[in-house]
Amino acid sequence: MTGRSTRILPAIVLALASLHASADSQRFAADDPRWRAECGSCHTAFPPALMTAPAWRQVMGALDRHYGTDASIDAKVASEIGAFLERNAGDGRRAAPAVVASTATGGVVAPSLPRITGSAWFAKEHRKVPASTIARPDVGSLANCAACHTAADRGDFSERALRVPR
Amino acid sequence: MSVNPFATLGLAFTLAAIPPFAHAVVPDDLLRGYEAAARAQSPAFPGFSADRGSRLFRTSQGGEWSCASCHGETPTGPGRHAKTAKVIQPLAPAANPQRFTDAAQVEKWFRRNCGDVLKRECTAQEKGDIVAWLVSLK
Repeated sequence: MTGRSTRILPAIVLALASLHASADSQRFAADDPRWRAECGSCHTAFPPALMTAPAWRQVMGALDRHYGTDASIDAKVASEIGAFLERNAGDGRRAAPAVVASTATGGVVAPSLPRITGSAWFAKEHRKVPASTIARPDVGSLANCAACHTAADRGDFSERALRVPR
Repeated sequence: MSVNPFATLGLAFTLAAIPPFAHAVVPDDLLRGYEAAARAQSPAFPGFSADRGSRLFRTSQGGEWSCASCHGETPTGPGRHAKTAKVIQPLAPAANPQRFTDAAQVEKWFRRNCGDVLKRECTAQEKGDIVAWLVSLK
């Protein structure tokens, strides 16, 4: 009995420690009032760390063709938000990279825009979310972070604030 | 001396209550601006109509979306973005007093959203009709 608990206890401590570390890595501190106001009106103001700087440059360079809608804003504000995004951009495995122009058409067709939801890391993190959950009217889309990540507007994507609607 | 300290205090409170002048508008200021522009475009300006605004707001104009697709049929309550499903705070000033108080914001959203719904900019007449309807909602 004693022998077993001496083996299990360190394992629990280790598991808790790694849980703590991963919870911390799911909090994003970067904040900017213009980013919050402009990017956060139609969707969650997505954390800058989830795309690389070149990817953000592609997004901010095409705000008038923003995933099917016109999201253009004042040029000065756009460049300030762009600088904030690039300053806090990611470069690890969680950061979605810029898209590469297709060579199939000789590079004539403009490349589509990068997507946070398209990264392998994002797909892995959300692989257990049933399609039926995403199809609920109150979820609607994987871009609707706050449907499940209840503290997404504060940059907190930790498990503690996770409530998947059922 | 004859300075009444309470009167001075009262003046200070009064001044503090006046919002900064440059950006503060009320929906009526916007409507006056739209009226001037609409008259310039059409001397037979018929006035703004809340009914026309309501119809325009709730009907899709050949495209995929209407204004109501994201703002809801009854914009005294919250809407939900048709694509991202994010909750959008109420658009009617009765439910959300911050709406239509910043002219630059209003113009930005009309420009973008009329582009999404109508595939063109809205006329001053159309903007005035919509704002007239929204301010009439209680």
